[in-house]
Amino acid sequence: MNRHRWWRRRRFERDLSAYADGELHGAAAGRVAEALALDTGARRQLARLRAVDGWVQTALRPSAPGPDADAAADSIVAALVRPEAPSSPPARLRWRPVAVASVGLLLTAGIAVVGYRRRTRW
Amino acid sequence: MTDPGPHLRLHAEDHERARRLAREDRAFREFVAEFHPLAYDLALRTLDDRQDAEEVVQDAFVRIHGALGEFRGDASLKTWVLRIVWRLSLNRRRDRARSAWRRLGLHRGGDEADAPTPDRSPESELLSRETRRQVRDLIEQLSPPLREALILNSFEDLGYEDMARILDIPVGTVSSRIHTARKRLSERLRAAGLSLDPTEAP
Repeated sequence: MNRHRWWRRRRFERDLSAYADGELHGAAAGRVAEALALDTGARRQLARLRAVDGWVQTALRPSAPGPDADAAADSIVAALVRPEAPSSPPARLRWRPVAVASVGLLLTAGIAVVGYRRRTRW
Repeated sequence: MTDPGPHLRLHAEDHERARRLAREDRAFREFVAEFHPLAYDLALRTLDDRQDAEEVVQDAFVRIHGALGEFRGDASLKTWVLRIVWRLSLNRRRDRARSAWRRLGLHRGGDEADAPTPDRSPESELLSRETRRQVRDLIEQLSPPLREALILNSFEDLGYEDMARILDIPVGTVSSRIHTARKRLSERLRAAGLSLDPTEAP
């Protein structure tokens, strides 16, 4: 029986949390509204939930205005329509010599390691 | 432009709007100006750093412009934008967590919490800033799923359905996480000596 009461209480607390956000509907919302009308303890629980939310807003709410939205929009659109520099080569071509050099280095290192291990084994 | 078919296109107006935004710079500029405040607010609440938030939001809108062709209208444009901002904010958080500067706590001083508030005495400003920082730290101590649910729930114009789409989880899970987050935070607030009396709490 205790376990049943525990589940009912837990379910009520979850419903109360959703009710506080206006996200509980139908019969469940009706049950919570009735409990709040009749039970001081339920009203205190709701008040505590709202107090927690108040602290969350205190911590997270920006204390100063953000950047001007119009200026930000202009800046973002300008970044999108910026013309490409005609003289700079395509990015992938610059990486080709680096890639070739890296593969060469790896091969050389691999051959050196294999050679060393053969010498030490025999 | 991908057409998901009428049975999936729940936000037909937004779908049409996305097609127009991909073609017209002026329309896209208005779109950015419309959603920038909300996007910035979300990034700032997630990152607690004004510079990071500005950079993430800029990056987000550039990516959004490139992805307009993929918008299918199965969520609203607002939810779609916030989902992208959210993902980029979380990526930035993860990258920041690896920074030694951050691990040593040397980043404090450029944070949102240090922005001065007018019409306050220096003493009350300091107390307010300390309290904000304290509560912010308590929220940071929650596990990521609970913290994220709490941050999203702090927006009045985001319902559980929106949050479910942003987080890509069922609505029931959103509800459960918010409930658990409030409960855990409530315990920590009490342990920190911060009042949950509605006449004293902020």
